[in-house]
Amino acid sequence: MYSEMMLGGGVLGVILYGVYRPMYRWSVMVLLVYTGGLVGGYATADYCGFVKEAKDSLYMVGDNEWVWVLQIIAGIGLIGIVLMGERRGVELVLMMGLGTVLLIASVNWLSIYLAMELQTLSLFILVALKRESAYSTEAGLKYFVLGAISTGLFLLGCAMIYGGSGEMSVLAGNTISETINQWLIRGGVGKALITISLLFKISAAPFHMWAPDVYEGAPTITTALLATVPKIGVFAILVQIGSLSNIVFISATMSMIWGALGALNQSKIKRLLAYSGIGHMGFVIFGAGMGTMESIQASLIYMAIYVAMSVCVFSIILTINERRGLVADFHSLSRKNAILGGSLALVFLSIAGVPPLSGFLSKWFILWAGVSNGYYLICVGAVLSSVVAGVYYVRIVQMTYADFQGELAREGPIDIKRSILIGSTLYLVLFILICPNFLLQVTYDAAVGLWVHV
Amino acid sequence: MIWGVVSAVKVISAVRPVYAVLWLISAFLSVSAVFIFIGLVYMGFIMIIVYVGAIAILFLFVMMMLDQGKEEAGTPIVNIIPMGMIVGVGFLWVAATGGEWVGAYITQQNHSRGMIGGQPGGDIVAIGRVVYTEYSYMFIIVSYILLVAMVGAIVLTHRHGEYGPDEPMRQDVYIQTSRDIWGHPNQINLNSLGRYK
Amino acid sequence: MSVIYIGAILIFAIGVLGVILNRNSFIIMLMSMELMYLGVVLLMVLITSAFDDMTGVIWAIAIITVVAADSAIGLSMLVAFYVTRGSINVKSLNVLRG
Repeated sequence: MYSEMMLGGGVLGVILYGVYRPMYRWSVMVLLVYTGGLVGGYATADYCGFVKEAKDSLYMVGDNEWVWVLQIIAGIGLIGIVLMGERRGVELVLMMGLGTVLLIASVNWLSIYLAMELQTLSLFILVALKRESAYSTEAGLKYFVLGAISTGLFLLGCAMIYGGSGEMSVLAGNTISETINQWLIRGGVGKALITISLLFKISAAPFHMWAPDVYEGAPTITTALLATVPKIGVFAILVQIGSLSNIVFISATMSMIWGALGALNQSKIKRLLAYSGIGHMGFVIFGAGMGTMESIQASLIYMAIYVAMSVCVFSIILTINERRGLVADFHSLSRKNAILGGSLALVFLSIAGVPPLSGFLSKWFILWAGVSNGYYLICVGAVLSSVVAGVYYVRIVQMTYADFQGELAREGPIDIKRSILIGSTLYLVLFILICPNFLLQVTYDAAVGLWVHV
Repeated sequence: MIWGVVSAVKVISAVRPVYAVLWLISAFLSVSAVFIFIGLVYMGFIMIIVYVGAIAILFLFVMMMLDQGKEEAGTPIVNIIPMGMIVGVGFLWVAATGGEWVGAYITQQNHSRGMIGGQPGGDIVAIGRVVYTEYSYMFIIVSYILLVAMVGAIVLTHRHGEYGPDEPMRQDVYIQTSRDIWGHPNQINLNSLGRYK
Repeated sequence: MSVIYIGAILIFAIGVLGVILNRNSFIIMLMSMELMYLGVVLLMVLITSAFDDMTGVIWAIAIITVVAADSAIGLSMLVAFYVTRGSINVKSLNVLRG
């Protein structure tokens, strides 16, 4: 609770300061202080969550290990986005971060709705930020229309849960629907509508139609933001509300298959990354839908590694900075800038899930949880679709190293902030398989924190 | 109630947007009448003030600003009938079953929590009592959302002046109010409007 | 009594139909979104008057405020789109394909 209050006050202060002066440095400072405070508090606190009171329907914001770990991941992702970005629109990125952080901590349907609206409205503006470009405004309008439909579904679901149970607290609603044991009647339709709306927001497969268009049309920095931070918040809520697992499984399978097949003939890099993100979200919600502790821990590991890989990929794309945004821009990158080409190849191999890299670790945990829970068919589908998806990632690597065309001018030095980002995330991608104990311990604590209070 | 549903159908089937706004106002008025009839007077007036007074007028302003002269013909209705049938039947099912369940649950509950009905002063006193105390979280987050909307509207539509992006746009009263009485009527319009296009 | 709940959900459904089926002008699409939120507000307030508690009224106030912000952002986005493209027809949303 105090950390969110601190971030909210900091955001307001930065915006007030930004009326007169450029506020880029101060916003980086606010995010650093916030995330540092969270990490320090998490490291020193002898923790026992006080979410027991959350069954009261007036209790809006919860506080346990799950919330803290996800907020730390979101804070690190936000720092990455702000560092790789430009100076324009920093205040909206901060507002979006505030919305995500509040969304992670929410335990009441009202606070979930308000935090999600804060996040989504900031994202609408950020997508349409380059307002002289036809692509950007069109992407903004499309995102606006589909986001409004999903918000409407969420609200109808909330009204049905309220009418069916009389309570607005998430945990109280869960216990009521379990005890009465007529889940279809007591808010079951409402929970189905809410699950569909959250799958809209996380861009899982039958509801993914906005993602490629919006990713392509938005400015690249906003695309990086869309791919990482809001998905963390929606994932936290999707796990916490105990969503209907049948819908989640169908959506997970369709996302994995569709993300693999849809990206095969894309020529724009951002569309390709959108389909890649759909496939990754299929893995994540597969783990979230199983609902056991190991699978949720595996999903959390997947999410953290996905954020690291996305930050690395988008920093490299922003560094190359081609206006056309085609996949063919990566031609002969290893000749122009050997280190950049090498890190691009390593990150794409990691996204494809090649064994010594960290992408393999996350996929392996998810499949392990799936097999041990007995979902064999979905696991077979996941392996097959990741093999198919490997084709186009390896094609990019082959393009970087094998096809030389045109002039081979060496490029100048790249931006210091982006090189720090690329280096640190590449370190995670490369070496996390050697000693994953730290990551496993932290995510284990987080996943246990979901169960302590019940 | 029935009038509200009829107005809603009229909104989405209107050809010209101005008629749609009028039918939208009619739907808002019918809903606020429902609120006043069930005893929530303050909510009814809020509906009229916010929706009719602000949002519908905002729509009218934008419609005036965009000046879309003649409508082009949309997709013929035959192409969208199948999808309309699917979505319509799905939502009718949800409406019927969900409405039945919710109504049945509420009538079976049959106890009143007595937070509005028994209060002196009606719903405005009850709302005022909780909105700053128990629901202060909602109050603060809603203020953040309004701040985002303000920033967004400025960022998306504000145009900078002629001397660079940091220069605010200034009004030139002389150009705005001058009329070239003897010239061709189109010329002065182009000159004065061109800067603000 | 449940007829009135069905009416509220019906207004919501008409709004969704308007958003999905509209092929003419964006402003009518935004109005259909308003209808969607109107249906939800009506449902919330009806339920709260049956329970006689405060939650639904607070929800209704929150939804009304957020919808005002939402339509302001949507309309300003529409203005920006009109400035770049010169049309607000739904069919002019055709740059991004693939």
